[in-house]
Amino acid sequence: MKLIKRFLDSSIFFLLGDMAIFSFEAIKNIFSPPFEKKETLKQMFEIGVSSLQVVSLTSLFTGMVFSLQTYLGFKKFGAEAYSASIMGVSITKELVPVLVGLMVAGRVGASIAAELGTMKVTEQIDALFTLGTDPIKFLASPRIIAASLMLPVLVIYGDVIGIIGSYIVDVLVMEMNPTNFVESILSHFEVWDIITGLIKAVSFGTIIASVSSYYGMRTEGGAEGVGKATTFAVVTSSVLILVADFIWGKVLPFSLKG
Amino acid sequence: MNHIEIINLHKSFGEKKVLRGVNLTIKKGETFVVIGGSGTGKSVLMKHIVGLIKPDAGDILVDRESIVKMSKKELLEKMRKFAYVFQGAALFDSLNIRENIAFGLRRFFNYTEDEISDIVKESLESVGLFNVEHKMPAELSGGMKKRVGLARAIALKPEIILYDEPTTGLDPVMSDAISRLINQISEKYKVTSIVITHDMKSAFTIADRIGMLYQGKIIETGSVEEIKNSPNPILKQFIEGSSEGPIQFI
Repeated sequence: MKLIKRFLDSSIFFLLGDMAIFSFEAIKNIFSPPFEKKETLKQMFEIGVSSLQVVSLTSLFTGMVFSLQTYLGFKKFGAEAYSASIMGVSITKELVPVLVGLMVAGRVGASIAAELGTMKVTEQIDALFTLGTDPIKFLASPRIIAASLMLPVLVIYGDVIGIIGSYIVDVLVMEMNPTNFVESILSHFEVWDIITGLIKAVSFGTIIASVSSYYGMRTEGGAEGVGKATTFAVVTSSVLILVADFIWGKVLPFSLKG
Repeated sequence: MNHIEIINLHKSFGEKKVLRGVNLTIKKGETFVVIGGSGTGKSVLMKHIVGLIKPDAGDILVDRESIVKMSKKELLEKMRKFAYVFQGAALFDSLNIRENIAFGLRRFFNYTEDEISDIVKESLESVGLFNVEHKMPAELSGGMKKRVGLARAIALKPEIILYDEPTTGLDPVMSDAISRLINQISEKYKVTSIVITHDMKSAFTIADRIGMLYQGKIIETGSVEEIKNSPNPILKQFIEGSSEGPIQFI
């Protein structure tokens, strides 16, 4: 019995279960007063505004390289005029949400885990509790709200930048007719593609903030513990984003046009 | 009158049994010092008293109410009665000194900003600090941080103050200053204080009673004189700071 208990305590089931309970508590706390407005706004700035640079670069170059490869691939069949038609769909539905999710997991997830991990090892989280404050409600809940609200905003922004990147390659480098480019993009594009990307973004934001807060607040040991928490937060968030992306891909309809 | 009762407290971390049946009674208004070597579970015992750690078995009564059986919400409400002075002060890095001290005041009370400013200033002055309200914790020395930790505690006008190694890492002069400050706070605010330390000079300065934690149990309690004159060889070795005797170390 002891061996089975030890196995379960150290297994991935225990980790995922503990993480799920933590996330559930943090999400439940969002809806009960007192609402941590100041902390939430601060986190929205940290997660949203501070990520603009990395999202801009990622989306621009992703749009550019994807356009280039698609154009050259389609050219083999003499169908380069249609290459832009798949750009709108793939950028808004798949590329930008997933890449923005992964980039934010790296930048923001690491920062959340390191900050909360340092607070844990210096007993600041215990201090919060002794000052009558629920640490999960004060630290994790505002980060979950902020990330799940700001990720969709970053994805919309990334969609625009990605399509600009695609325009730069197709029109300015490959000399495609600008009117053809716009018509081609709009021909297979529907608003549902953007909505699909936004649904994914909300879930990715929730994953990043709850997983990173979990690892941060469970940090043990000193600087080494903080380092490990940061690594685990980024790796776990990234893997869960890819898993969630596949699940959404299966669950959500591809098109609403029947 | 008993303020805090610790009844047969047990706690293990994995295979390691840290507390093996701690029994302790602390009276209202007294300063009780828990002494013991590094790693004997003094901090673990203290964290049980405020509910930061749940025991494997046993109970802790504060004003005859069980801390162990309280829900998280009840426990957070109960924290109004407590103040905890952490070993490394545990000041919030992202807040300045004023906001660190005001944090608990905003959570527990409905003071106006002017009232908060007055309380912050008064608390800082009573620990001998002036004009540091707008500094960040990183700008202060270790001793100053400890004093801000004390100020944050007394600003809340608690009934019970827990001090975790208040003099560790300080020079002898600053250690003595902190010990005297703890005495002044106890006298001025009539609080029940629990102090954990392995600094015997400080323990003898501040204690009304002393208890020694050894191998997960309180092996002896008594007044300062009783502890000083105890024939217990473990206690004697610890007070003398000798490496020879029944206390094993690696």
